[in-house]
Formats: sequence, structure tokens, C-alpha cells
Amino acid sequence: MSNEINCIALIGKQNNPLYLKNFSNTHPDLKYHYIAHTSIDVIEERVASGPKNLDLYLGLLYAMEDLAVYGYMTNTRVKFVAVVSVTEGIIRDAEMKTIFKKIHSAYLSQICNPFYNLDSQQSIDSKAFSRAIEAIGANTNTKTTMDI
Amino acid sequence: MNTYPTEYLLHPVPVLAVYGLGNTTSEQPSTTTTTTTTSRPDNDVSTTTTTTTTPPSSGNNTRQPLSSRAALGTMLQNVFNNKQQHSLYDTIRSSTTTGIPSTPAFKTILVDKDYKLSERTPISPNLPPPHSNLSPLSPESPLHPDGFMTPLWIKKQLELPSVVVGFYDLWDWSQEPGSPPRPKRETGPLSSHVMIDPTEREKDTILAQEINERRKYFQDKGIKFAATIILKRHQTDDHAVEERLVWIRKQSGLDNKNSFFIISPGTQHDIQEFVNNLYRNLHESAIHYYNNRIKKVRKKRAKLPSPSMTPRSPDTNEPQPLSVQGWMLRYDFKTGVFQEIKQDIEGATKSYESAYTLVADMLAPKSSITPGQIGLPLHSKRWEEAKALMDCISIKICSFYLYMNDTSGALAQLNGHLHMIQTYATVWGTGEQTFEYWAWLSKQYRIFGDVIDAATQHGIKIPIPTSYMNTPGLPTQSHPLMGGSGSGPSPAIGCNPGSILQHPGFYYHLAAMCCAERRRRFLEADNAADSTKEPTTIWETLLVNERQIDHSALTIELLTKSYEQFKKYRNGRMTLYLAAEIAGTYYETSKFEMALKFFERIGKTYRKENWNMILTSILRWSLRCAKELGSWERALECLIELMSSDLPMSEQKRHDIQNELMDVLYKRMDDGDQKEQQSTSLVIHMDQINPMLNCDAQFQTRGNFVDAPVRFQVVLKTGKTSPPTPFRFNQMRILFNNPRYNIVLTDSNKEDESGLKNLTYVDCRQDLQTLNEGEYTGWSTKEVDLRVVKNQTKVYEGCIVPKECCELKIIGICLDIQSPQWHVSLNYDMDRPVEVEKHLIRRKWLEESKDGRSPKFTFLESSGELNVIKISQRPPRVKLIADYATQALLDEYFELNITIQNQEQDAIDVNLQAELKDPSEK
Repeated sequence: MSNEINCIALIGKQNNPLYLKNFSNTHPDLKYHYIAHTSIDVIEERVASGPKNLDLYLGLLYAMEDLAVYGYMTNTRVKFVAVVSVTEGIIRDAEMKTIFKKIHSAYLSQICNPFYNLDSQQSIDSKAFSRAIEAIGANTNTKTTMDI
Repeated sequence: MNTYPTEYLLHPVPVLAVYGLGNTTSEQPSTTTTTTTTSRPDNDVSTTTTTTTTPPSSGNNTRQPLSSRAALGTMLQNVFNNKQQHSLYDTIRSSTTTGIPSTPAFKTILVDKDYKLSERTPISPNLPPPHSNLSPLSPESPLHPDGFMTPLWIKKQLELPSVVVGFYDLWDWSQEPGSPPRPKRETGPLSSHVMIDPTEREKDTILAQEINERRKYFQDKGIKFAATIILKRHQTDDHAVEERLVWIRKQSGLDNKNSFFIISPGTQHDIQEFVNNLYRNLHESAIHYYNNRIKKVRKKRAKLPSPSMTPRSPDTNEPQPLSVQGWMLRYDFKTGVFQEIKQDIEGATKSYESAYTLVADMLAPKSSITPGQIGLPLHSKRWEEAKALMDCISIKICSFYLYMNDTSGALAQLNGHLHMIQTYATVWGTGEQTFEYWAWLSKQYRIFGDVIDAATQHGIKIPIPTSYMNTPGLPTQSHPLMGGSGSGPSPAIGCNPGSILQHPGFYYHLAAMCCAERRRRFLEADNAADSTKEPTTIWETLLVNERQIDHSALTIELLTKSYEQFKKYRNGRMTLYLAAEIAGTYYETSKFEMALKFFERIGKTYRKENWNMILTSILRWSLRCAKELGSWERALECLIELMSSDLPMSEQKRHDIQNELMDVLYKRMDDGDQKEQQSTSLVIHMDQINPMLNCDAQFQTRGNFVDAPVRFQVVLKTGKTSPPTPFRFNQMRILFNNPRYNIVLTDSNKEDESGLKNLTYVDCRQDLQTLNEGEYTGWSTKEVDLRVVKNQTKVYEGCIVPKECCELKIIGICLDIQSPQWHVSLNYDMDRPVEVEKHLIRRKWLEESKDGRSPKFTFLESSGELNVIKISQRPPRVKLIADYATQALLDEYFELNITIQNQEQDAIDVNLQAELKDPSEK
């Protein structure tokens, strides 16, 4: 993976933010909140216009300035968004998919907690979940530096 | 510097010159008998075929409406003129899809009857003709001695016809004044032997001669000539006329198919059809003309020596003649223009790309094509020309790629161009730290947005970035957008997000961001510069000019354009983001009212969807605007909402907000006068914003009796982080559906710690007084501690004694903050439908602690929120005892003793009714 993950965001089925982690130091959190919020439309558009057996992975949603936004939606309509910085290189869909799969499994462990209310619009504040997401980001981003 | 020459950017089409349509102005009496082909007074020369013109004095004819001839001329002129601007997409491609025969685009110019092309007459017969007055070789040219291109050249090309069409009238006896209408000549079976009218023949010969002369003249110049004969209505189905026409055509040496046309008066549609047909027939000749021009230019280019053979001596200050590379650029550009005119877009792309490379190299600090040549001097006339030309060529190439449906090609050209100029700009000293650079970049993105917008309006589809539609596992290497950079079939699919064309909204947004950056850079430079000094250097002149620019208006315009695009592409949430940017820009320019309006509008969605981080930012901005405007109500609303724990912020920030809130509440000093003023009331509905604390109210039981005490609890629950320091309400009003039970609790101004425990029970059941005066006359009241602090649950238990049967309901709780200036009440509407989540939670009741220990919650039956209670009449306490034997015997007295015992204090009237029933009869 030649590109760094700047942000991972989870959005609930009511389009409420569930979780947002900023890995970069170039942009403030607010920017990523805006980005995550704007990607909802693109995800919804893709899902609405796509075929019925659409893959969970929705690919590149859009690129804005130097950031590329990728999307993924679970069967329960929870949306995952990953923001990567745009460089000259190619971002492989397979790698993005792997990242989303990891996020998905972290999310699954979170909702397996019987005390977690699936219908709650509150954001996830589980420590274990935060650790899992941070690990995904840290893992991807250290690999980046090793590649160089 | 702000605009490019329009000639460089417009889309050229073949040029058609037309004459002979006449000018039907009112001062020229045109009658049915007038056959002057040119009616302009200055052209009314005797070389026309006309025999007579009716004198202006000839009476009633002048008041006639436009004659059919004149009307036809006007109609034709209108049709020829109705499209002056052509776009790339007006060409053949668009119409072939519809199945209608395509109409090639032409630019029509109306010329005089004796139109002559400009001639370059040699000074002496032995010398070659002089260079064009736009050539760098002519001393009077603006390009002399080292310029390579000027927009004037394109302008000139668009005034040079590739085809000329002359309109002529066929002479007719009716034009002869006083001549009787001739009978239609009979044409027998041998129609060729029609009697020929000698006068007609004479007139026709003159006409044919004239046409022939014009044909020869234009043919010599390589320009196609076609004649059109305008027939009068009565001439249309005259066989003799047909014969005459054939004769004229043959005499004037024109061929039937596409050099000789006939038109007679008709409807607008007929005229349009005629013109379309004319265009179709002449198109080939026009293409032929431009092909010849291309051939000529190419021949000249081929004769040029290689630029590497002619290195230029860089050590003179004298203006040098145009370099070989410059000539190459000139010729490539010219070829490109001609190819574009003939709609050879693919060819034009290649020529322009070659020209682009050459002009880019001329701007480069060091040429790689002409060894030893250094770049054009910075900010010189030629440098400016080259830069404008380079930008324009790049724009053309972008739009051509889009036209050819190569979206990634278009984007690659843009990115390549931006990258190249960026590299040059650092050398030029106009790098990223200057406003010039950002102004330029903004312009590039804006134009690119316009180009895509035009393309999409003509059916170009914005590609979908990734092949997300494909079922997983299916390789899609064949997709042209995938893989990019020609690395062969890559095992994994992917893309470079930067190389995917998006809809224009994104580019307008980029342009807006650049424009904002331009403003920042300008302000930096402007602060550093001495504004009183007269500008002496180029840089200072630029700065002075830049001061005239309303950057924020430009940014807002671009953001609005972007906004509209995103709206068009149904990306509603992005429009909110853009609206926030617009609002921010308004704020920068102190247009606080506009900014506030925008912020208010977008805040709703973020609030509804719980995007609290964004909402916090918007509220902070709104607060700033409100303070600037002195709109303290709005400021208070923002501050109250910002006190909500749901809105994330640091502890320090929250402190600041709370202090600010207190400042606004208590120390508002907007008016200078110190005299006691009326306090302003402000009601905030807490269910419409993120509340700073939650408030619930419930009764202990579902039902109760009249005169029995009904217990209820009001729970105030603060968030984890707010308020950071104890927050004191002045009073709490508990409103019932029957106002007689309303309670107002006032603050006791206590300062002790006991009221700030995490879980606090406040007993308001006893010692309530009834107010006898003031606003709340008749209400029960008590002084209690109304402070709250973060992470606190405070329960106020009250008690009312209902006096009648009813359904009693707590309809609202109001928390009031009163200061000399303000009366702010936070209203909690208890009548609203209960949230689904709350329905599931078991009801709890806080029990007062008996022995100094902290109070404890106990569970009540049922779940949800119970703010309604049913009050019914308590049944009287009457004891009824029936005493009887279990069996009754026939014909015997059955003894039944009923004892009624009144346990009430008062006497009771009782009716007793006893009914004996056989249970088997049921």
C-alpha cells in the first residue's frame, strides 16, 4: 500500500456518525467529519443505482483536493469510509478491500457485545473497538513507511 | 491577465461569405418591381442586372409591407446570422445520432456585392508579394520581430471566407414599369423550341456574365463560389424560367449540384431547409479550402531547418528575429486552427499538442529543443503572450479529449499543465507563495470546470471511479481507466484517484479554494508592502491591481457554481459543506448577516443527523457572527446549545463558553445608558437543540384518588462534561395541564457542597407556600437548590393533592435564568411523544435516604415515562357484611343479615339493593 490512511469513519444506518478516527496531522478532525458526512450521498447513490447483489465494497467515492474517499456498506446499512491521501501511485482496490474487511470484523466484535445497543444513535466509545481501529490504521501506515 | 483572448478559446467553424441579400431599411423604398440585388445606397451600382428601380416618389408602393423579395432577403439574413457562436459539439456528431441528415456548422459573414479579398500587391513586379501584416517579418506587425502568435490572426481567419455565395434576381417583365403583364408562354411538347424573348435573353446574358466574373475571381483565390437565383413567386412553376436558369448556369460556368441554387419565397421552415441544404452542399468545398491552407502551412514548416542546428546567440540585448522553434510553433498552431475549423478534432489535438510542447519549451528556463536558448524574459510582452497561448492551447486540448470521450486524457492534460507551470513558477518567482500563482491556478480549475460542464451538457458521461459494480473475483483489467500508467496488466485492479475525472463541482470547488488562498497570499503581501508608495516595479503594479479585486466575491461565486453542480448531481450533503464554506467567506468579509443565515440553514441537518463535531463548529461561527451583529438572542441560543455535553470540545473551551454565557447574561452593555431597562425574554425549546441537560418528569403511579397526595419526580441530568462549574437556574416551573397545580421552585442561593453530589434528592413535598401576588399568583412555591454541575442527576420530588377527578399531566418543565437584562427560559415540552429507546427502560424512582446515606433508585412497575396520572374518586370506606345460611329450605323463612358499617368520619347515604338468584339459571 503506497498510500497512507488518513481517517477511518463509521456511519450508522440513520446517517449518524458512529466513530471517527483521524490518523493524519495535516487536517483537523472537522475536515474528516465533513468528508464522512458528504460521502453518505455518494454511498447512497451507488447503492441505489447499483445492482441488487452489490459488493459491500463500493470503491472510490470521490477525490477532493489531495484526499481520496473510499466506501463500504454492511448489510445492515452501516457505512464505513476510509480517507487516503492521493499520491502519484495507484491505489489497489484489493488493498482497500482488505482494510474494510478488517474494519468490518472490528465492528462485528463490537456489536457482538450484548450490552451494545445496535439501534442507539450514540457513537461507539468502546476502548476495544478504538484499539482495533487504531491498529488497522497504524498497521497500514507503518507498512507504508516500510515500503519506502 | 484575468481573461484570455476570446479568439483563442472560441470554437472556429468554416467561414461562408454571402452577398446580395439586400438591406431592407425603410429609407430604401423596395417595391415588388425593384430588382436591385443590392439595395444599399452606396452599392447601388450599375453593374447589376437590374434594369430599373422605382423612383422613391412613385407613390403608394412605399407604404406596402416588406415585399416578398425583401422579406425573403431578411429571412435569409436572419437564418444565416442566427448562430454566431459555435461550440465543439455543434458539429456533425450530434446530429448523426438522431438520424436527420447532419447540417455542418458555418460562420456566415454578410459582405458587399463587390467584395474583394485583401491583396498583397508586390511593390514591384519582380519581388515576391510582401508578408502578411500579421507576420513577424512585416515591420508593421504586432509580432515584429519575434512574436509567434496573436489572436488577431485567428480573427483574420474568421473573416476570410472559404466559400462565397452570391444571391441574384432573375429579371422579369413585371419589373418594367408600364409594361403589361405578359401571358405565360405556351410550351409545347417540344419545349426546347420555346420562343425566346430577346429582352430576357439580353438581361440573362448580363447576369451570367456578372456571375461568371465573380466565379473566376474567387476561383483564382482558391475559394469556392456558388450563385443562388432568387425567383419571384410567379416564376416558380414557369417552364420558360427553368430554361432560362439552365442557360444562365451554363453561361456562367457553374455546375448544377453544388454551385447553382434556386430559391423562391417560402415559409421560415423552407428557408431554413434551403440554408441547411446549402451548407451541406458547400461543406465539402469549405473543407477542401482549409485542407489547402493546411497543406501550405505544412509545406512551410517542412522547409524550416532543425532548431538544434540554429542555436541562438544569447548575448545580445537586441530583439532577435523569431527563432526556428517559434516558427515551428506558429505553423503547428496554424495547422491546429485549420484542422479545428474543419472539425478534424483528432488532427487538431495532435497539432495543438505539438504546439503546446514548443510553447512550453519556450517558457522553460532552459530550452531543450533549441540548445542554448533561455526562456523568454519574465513578464515581457512575449512571455505574457506565450503564457496565455500555452494556457489556451491546454484548455483546447482538454476539451478535445473530452470531446473524444477520453476523460482521463483530459484530466492528464490539465494535471500535466498545472504541474509544468508550477515547476516554472518557482523559477519565475511566482511560486506557491504568491497570489499570482493562486489566481492563475484558480482560473485553470474554473475553466476546466466550465469545459466539463459543457461536455456533460452534450452527453459526455462522468466516469464512475471504480469498477465497484463488478462482481468480486471478475478481473476487469480491460477497463481503460483501470491500471493507468501503462504498466501492463496488473494483477490487482485499482486506480490513481487523482487521475479520475469528476463532475465540474469538484473543480469549481478547487478553484474556490485557490481563490481563497490567493486572498490570503495577497493580504500577506499587501501587509508587507507600503501601500502609499507609487508602484514602480512590475510586482508593485500587480499588487495595486490586485487590491481592486474582490476576492471573496470571486470565491463565493465559485463556491456557488460548485454548489449548483453538486445539487445537480444530487449530492445534497456536499452542498451543505459548500454552504459552510460560503458562510465562512462571508464572515471573512464581515458580511455577518449573510454568514449567519447560511450557518443557520445548514445547522439543522447536522443536528438532525447527530454530526455534533460539525455542529459545534457551525455554532461557534454563528456565535461569532451573532456577536458581531449584536444579535444577543441568537448568541445566547448558540451559547446554550454549546453548553451541551453532546457537542465535543475541550474542558477549557467549555469553561470559556460558560463564562461567555454568564457575561452575555449579566454584563451586556450594548446600549450606553445605564438606566434600568426591561429584561428581554428568550424562550429556547430544548427539544429542538442539543440540550445542556436532560429533564424528565414522572408520576409514581398510574392512578390515584381525589384528595390523596400524588407523588411525582422531576429529574435533571447533566452530561459528562458540562457544565464544568456549577450552573445556577433561578427558578424551575413545573406546568400541569391544570394550572391550579403549577409549581414554581426558586433557587435558595445555597453554596454548600451537598447540592452538587452526583446523585441528589431534593424534597419539595412539604412546606410549599402559595403565591399571592406576581406573575405566578396561585402557584405553589418553595426555595430549593437549583444548581447543576456536570455528571449530575438531580431529582426533585413533589407532591400535589388533586381536588377532582381528572387526567393529570405534567406538560412542561421550564428552567429559568433571570438577570437584570434577560429572562431566558429553557423549555422542556413533556407532551412530546416519548422516544422509542425510553420506552424500553424500566421505570425508576429515587428513594430518599433515611439515615444520611446517599439516595437509591428503586424500580417501579412498567417501563417508559409516565407523565400522566388518572385521578378518580376514592370509593367510600363502607364495610358490607352479608350473613346467611348456605342452604335455604322451601316454605321457610330464609334469614339474611346484612351489616353496613360506615368507616368514614361523615355520615353516608346508602341505597341497598339485594337480588337473589338461582346460580343454575345463568
